Amino acid sequence: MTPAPAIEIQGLARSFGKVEALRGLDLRVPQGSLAGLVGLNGAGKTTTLRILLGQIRPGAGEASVFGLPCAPEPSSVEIRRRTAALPEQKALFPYMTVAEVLRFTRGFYPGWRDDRAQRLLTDFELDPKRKTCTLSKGQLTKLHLVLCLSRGAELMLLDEPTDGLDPVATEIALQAMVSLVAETGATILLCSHRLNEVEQIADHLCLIHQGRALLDESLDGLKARARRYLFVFDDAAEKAEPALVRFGRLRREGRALSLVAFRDGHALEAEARALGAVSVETAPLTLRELFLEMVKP
Amino acid sequence: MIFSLNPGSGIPIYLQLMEQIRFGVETGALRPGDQLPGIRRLAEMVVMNPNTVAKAYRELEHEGLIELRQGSGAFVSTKLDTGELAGRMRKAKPLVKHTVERLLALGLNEEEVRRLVEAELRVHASSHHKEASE
Amino acid sequence: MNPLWLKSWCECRYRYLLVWLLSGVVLFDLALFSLVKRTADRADLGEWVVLFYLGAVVPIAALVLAGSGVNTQTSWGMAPGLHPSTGFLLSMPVRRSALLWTRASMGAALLLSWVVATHLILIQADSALGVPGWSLPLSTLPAVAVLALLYFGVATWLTVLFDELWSSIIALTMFGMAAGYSLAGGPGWANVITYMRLENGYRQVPQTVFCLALTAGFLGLAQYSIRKKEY
Repeated sequence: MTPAPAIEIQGLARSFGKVEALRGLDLRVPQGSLAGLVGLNGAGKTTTLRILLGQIRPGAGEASVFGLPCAPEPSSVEIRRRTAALPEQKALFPYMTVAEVLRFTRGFYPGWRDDRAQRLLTDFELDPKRKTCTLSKGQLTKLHLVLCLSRGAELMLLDEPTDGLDPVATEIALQAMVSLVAETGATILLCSHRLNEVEQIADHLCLIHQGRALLDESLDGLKARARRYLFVFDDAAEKAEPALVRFGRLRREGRALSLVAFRDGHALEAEARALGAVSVETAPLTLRELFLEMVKP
Repeated sequence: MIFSLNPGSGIPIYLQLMEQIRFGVETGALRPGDQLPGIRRLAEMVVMNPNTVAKAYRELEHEGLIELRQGSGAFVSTKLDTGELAGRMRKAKPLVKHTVERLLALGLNEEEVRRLVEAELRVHASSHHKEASE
Repeated sequence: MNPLWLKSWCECRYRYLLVWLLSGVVLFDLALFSLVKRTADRADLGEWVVLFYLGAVVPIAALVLAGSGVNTQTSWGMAPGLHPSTGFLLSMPVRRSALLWTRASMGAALLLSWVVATHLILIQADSALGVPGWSLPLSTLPAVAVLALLYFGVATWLTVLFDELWSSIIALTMFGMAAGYSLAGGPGWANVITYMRLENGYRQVPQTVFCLALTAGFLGLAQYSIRKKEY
């Protein structure tokens, strides 16, 4: 019996005036997974997070976290009691110091782990006495990471958690995330443009494009079935095109055909050979290549 | 045992991890009975997903290469005949050396040799798949 | 609840300081008393100080201390008027009404403490400077407090609807109109100055009830708006 998903979204739609931010989004984030949420700017990622946190209401469809609906306030408060969110806009209360913000956040979460907070503060070199309005963007991101990772939350919604971080701090951040999942079994939804980082630590991938989910599956599963193929033919490759086009988007250069196929790789190879391919090469795809392949018009 | 994983190579990370553990056993860096790092520790060390580490360990256990003991961790299987593994590798090495030397003598460069070998392996995988599905 | 009090205090502490600096203006005027020789001039000056305090300083103090707990700033960014920290604040497990009420309670408590203290200081100054028939008797304190709270209620409601700049402008306009009407000697119910100086006779009690009801009404509206709003 698989446990209930941490996040469940069905047919979620939401518009802002004439702009359709979400058009029927379906997502299921398994409990205990580290899921990457990727997509172009304006694809609907931040809107989704805001709906999950109860800051805005869905237009249509359903969204729930831990089985609780995201919309009415008491339910939403309960969700937030078990969730840690790292917002897109990193600014904090300008009139508070780092220590005061920590005290503020700690007051809401009985499961707060101060040992973790202190260690991260030291690792990130944050001075508790500084006012948050004097912190740089990278330092604000680091502070948010401390706030999120020390809460003892079951779910983390992180929007660009490595924004403005240098490579050392990024490594500390990724390591802390991985360590948290291993130690507590928490679920993390990582919203990021840094595909190499997502690729490194995620085990689940959600790709949002124009308000819909194009991908929502295990990352390993995706990489196993999606490959790039390069076929070279003896004579005109044009003849092979119509037969192979059902496998994916074809690009032809003279006698060579290349495509990215998301399934039936073996059948594709067999067919290409049957059509007279002289050379059959295949290579695995990085997340970046996959992403570009799926979203480029 | 030091692991070096490349998330950008396109090869799923758990496969890379499995391959490196196998390589460790083959070369003797890991001997039967040796303990492998715990899932959490390994995930922290190489900064990768703990579920993925767990998956790699499970697959290797399925293959019989390692044992997962409740509460103690992961250990290289004591039932392995590393002698046989090492023996196979020892026999294979001169065959490969010979073939590679001959191919290079023909005028091919390293990249071309690699591609030919990979293509040949894929043909085998393809026909295996075809047999399996028939 | 506790962290919301911390936050409200952090927000209000500098505003409170500002309010006291403003009342320094009033106190400065009082210091001028010692320089004025003629009793008639003193009486004029005294009257001016009272009117200025009641008509301008009290409403401005109420405005400065008002707030909804959801920070605003004049920004032309993502959502008009919202401070970028709003996303973080609203991801905390608190109800919107709790945000509003802790902030409003803190602001109101500080406002009242200031009203009481300033009133007592004015009375002391009066006896120290020995100007007969001037100043605000202690009996006027409740009326001043009630009206200060009304100003506070209106300003709080405005801060939920508009960002800091616009809510201030609208509030100042409204309060200015009330003061102007009263200073010009406008009759009856709407004269805030005569109300605060207990010069309205039989109307005093119903006006007090009405003010308190209005204050509750505006704060209730503020709660309704803050819960409905999408941030």
